[in-house]
Amino acid sequence: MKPARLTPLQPQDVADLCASFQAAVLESTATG
Amino acid sequence: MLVLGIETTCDETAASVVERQSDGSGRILSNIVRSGQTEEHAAFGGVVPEIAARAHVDLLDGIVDRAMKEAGIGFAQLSAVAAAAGPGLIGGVIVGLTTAKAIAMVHDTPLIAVNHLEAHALTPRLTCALAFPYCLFLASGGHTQIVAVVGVGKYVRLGTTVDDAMGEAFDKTAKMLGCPIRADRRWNVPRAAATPAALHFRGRSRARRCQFLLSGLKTGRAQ
Repeated sequence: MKPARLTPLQPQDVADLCASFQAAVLESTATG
Repeated sequence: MLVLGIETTCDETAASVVERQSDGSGRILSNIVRSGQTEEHAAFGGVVPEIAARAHVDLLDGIVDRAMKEAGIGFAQLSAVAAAAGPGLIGGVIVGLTTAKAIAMVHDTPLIAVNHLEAHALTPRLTCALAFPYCLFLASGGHTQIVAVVGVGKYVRLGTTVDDAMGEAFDKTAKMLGCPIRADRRWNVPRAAATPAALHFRGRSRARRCQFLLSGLKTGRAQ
């Protein structure tokens, strides 16, 4: 893996995290 | 309901008495923490598991005694005894868990073996009215995770580190910089070392796939 400088979060990163959180909660709730 | 909690998973020795109130909320009656064991570990530039475990043996009975006295209760009033049962430095975990087992046996009280990470996930609910679900960022010496906390016992890991934990990467990098540990647990970073020119970060965080890549901090400093 090519080394890279520490990169700041982008708006899309936060949106993706929120979407995965929402999906995890919905799935957990649906399966009891 | 009154519970005595014991924590010895790293270099902090701690005991606390918590009361569960009728509405289900928690109230901290005492919280005694002996932080850092700084003097014992300073010469080695980081936490030495064997030294930490021996320090827990020396300190824990006195800290439990202080926690009980500050809470103003006796052992007979306890509903349960809880201790962190891991993950953590195994020597320290054994000291805390064995002490909790002894107290539970002597006073005929249930023992609650607590998962260390689950404790981090649920502790915010003790100090603020936090409702499920919530998103947890857990950063420690051994773990770096993003977790959806759906309920008690219901956790979904959304992301984690694929190499080092944040604490491991930062502590070892600080050690390479020659930063001494201070009693308040802040790294005393020399001004020259803290400049971007002196500290060439190569670590990378990619939240899109919820992965953390942190070992590059150490590699970047070593090169």
